[in-house]
Amino acid sequence: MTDDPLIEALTGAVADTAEPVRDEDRHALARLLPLIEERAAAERILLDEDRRLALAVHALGFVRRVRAGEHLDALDPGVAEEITPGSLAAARELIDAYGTPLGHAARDTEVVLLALHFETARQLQES
Amino acid sequence: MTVKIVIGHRLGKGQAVADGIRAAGGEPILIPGPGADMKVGDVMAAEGAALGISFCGSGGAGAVTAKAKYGHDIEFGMRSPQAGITAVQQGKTVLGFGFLDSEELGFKVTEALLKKLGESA
Repeated sequence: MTDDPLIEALTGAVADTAEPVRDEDRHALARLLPLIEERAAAERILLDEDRRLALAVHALGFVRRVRAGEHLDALDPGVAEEITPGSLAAARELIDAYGTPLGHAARDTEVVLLALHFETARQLQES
Repeated sequence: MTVKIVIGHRLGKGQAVADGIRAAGGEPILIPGPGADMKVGDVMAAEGAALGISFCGSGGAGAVTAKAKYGHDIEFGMRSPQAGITAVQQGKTVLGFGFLDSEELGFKVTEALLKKLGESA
């Protein structure tokens, strides 16, 4: 158990799947999720419960990829063009803040995917 | 009676999966536009769909949201048609994949779903 209600919500949501949240995931998420919250606050993005949970499950996938040394396939280059350079730089900073101390050199796909989550949250906020 | 399967793709894709679903005898409902993965649970409820397929980078956001909002049994983080077949056989109703827009995926998952529904009818 942790004190973080978001990690507990995520744990409950994926409890009956093939890949439930384990202790090592909790420790990793306890490091990464505050970085995500800080970034959202810095960009003045309000995360509702759905967006927060979506980001948490994305974060779960990412921390598992870091642990396994896995990389996602490259995306269609057109995807990154829809995201501002500033958002990409901010996402890169966040990804590296987590991955670099663990010796993980994340590829651009991770950066784009995280930036897309923030972008979606921003668009929902503005709509 | 046709079996409806909802598709939501983070980048607004999913056409190939829809073609595969149709080829296997299902009725695909493709949610248009970016961020569609987050609407899978809502559209399933509105359409009375038997299955939802959500695509995003890590393969989980839409599925987990559908679980939280509607209590669906989910599987997530899948990267192959075979994983989807297994999940359907286990009775999962929302499947979360990475970006895998293929006709084969739509066809095989639909085939497994129709078989499963036939067994339980």
